[in-house]
Amino acid sequence: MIEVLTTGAANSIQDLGRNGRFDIGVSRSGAMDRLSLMIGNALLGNELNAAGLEIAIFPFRLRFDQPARFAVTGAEGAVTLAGRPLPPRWAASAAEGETLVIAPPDRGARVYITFADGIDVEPVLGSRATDLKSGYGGLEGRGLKRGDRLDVMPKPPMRAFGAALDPFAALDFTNPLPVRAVPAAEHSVFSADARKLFSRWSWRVTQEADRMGYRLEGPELKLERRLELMSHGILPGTIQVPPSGKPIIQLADANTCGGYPKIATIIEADLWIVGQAGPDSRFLFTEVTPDEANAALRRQRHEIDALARTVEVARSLAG
Amino acid sequence: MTLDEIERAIALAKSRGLAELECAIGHGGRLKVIVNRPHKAVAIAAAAPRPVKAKSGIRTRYFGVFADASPAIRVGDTVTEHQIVGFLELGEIRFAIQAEKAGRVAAKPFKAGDLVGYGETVFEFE
Repeated sequence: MIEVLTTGAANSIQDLGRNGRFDIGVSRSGAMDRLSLMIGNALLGNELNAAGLEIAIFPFRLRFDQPARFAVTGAEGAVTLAGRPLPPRWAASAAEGETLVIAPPDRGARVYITFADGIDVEPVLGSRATDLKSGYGGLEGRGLKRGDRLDVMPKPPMRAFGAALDPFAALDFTNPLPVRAVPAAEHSVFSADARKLFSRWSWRVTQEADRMGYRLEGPELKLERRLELMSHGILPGTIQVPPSGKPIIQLADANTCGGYPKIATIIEADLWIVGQAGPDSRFLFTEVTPDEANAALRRQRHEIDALARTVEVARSLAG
Repeated sequence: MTLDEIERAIALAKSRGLAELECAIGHGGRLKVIVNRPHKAVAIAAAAPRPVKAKSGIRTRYFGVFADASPAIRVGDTVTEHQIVGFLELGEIRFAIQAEKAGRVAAKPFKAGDLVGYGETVFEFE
């Protein structure tokens, strides 16, 4: 068991989410930075979809009531186990009674804590992810509270190690973050100016940014002509433009359908960057083709698979 | 005994013109190096190894590609016991290089991206 000592209600249990039920209105949910959750799981030899903790409110503290193996990935900042600092993207073992403390990060917005064999909660609709908007999955469909106790597998100590794979190395949070997007169905209905602005403006994330979506601040994106749309399916990453002309990125807990025109969809391989960008971050959108989007995702999965394989070899050598 | 040390023993035997070199290694073992063609006979006195003062510092316990800690440890920095001073990367994973004792860094022979062998001194202390 682990016990939550300090938390905020926006911290929750997440895996890779619920797929395949968008048609009946079930949102994907799952980690906002799926890449970091997968790296954390790969470091522990877990299934990449194993449930971990998504921490967005800091400081966060938990106590191990038994020896366990865990990894901390995602946003980078001060992380200590029993007072000893841990490097970024690190897997280690905790002894009974030790406390893990995650301070507000210096780079990024969300930290992931994974545990060997995952967190044991009952799956709902095929996933352990918490849908905070609809109130199911994870721990009673809610965020974490002080005093919550979670089941993790007891594990003997291991030599600590980390991931050389460092997605954050390429990100400079003091500058606009480059994010790739595929033009969406109504892209051509936006004015030439709007289309130019979309890929040239440095869009700022407003305070209205949560697991459902981010509102962006920038120039008004105008349509060439009035458009009446039927309600249609949308995905995490869809960028809608409501009548205000200010784009909204739909994210993990977003509704599965909407009626606003869509200018673009952020590619899956870059959605983790959005998950790591808090309010006042800036995005610079680059247009790519669906083929380029798929290739980027394949490259990313290949890197994670390579990490998982290396961990497997290292574990078999270590016994 | 590491490959590196065996290579050093072979190099030593060759450089001294010895046909055979035998020495004790850890755990009661012995290493015998036989060099096929000694170049020339040498005086025994010349073969006596000069005493080398071992430099204190931080040595590696693995091999791998060196990566800096964050922030990087630089010459002149003081490190504390058990502090993580850098990493050795093996493919997709990395292990910590930890200081076994405290000290002040006088030299840092490797930079990020360099290949480092077993038992190499990655930080020399004053």
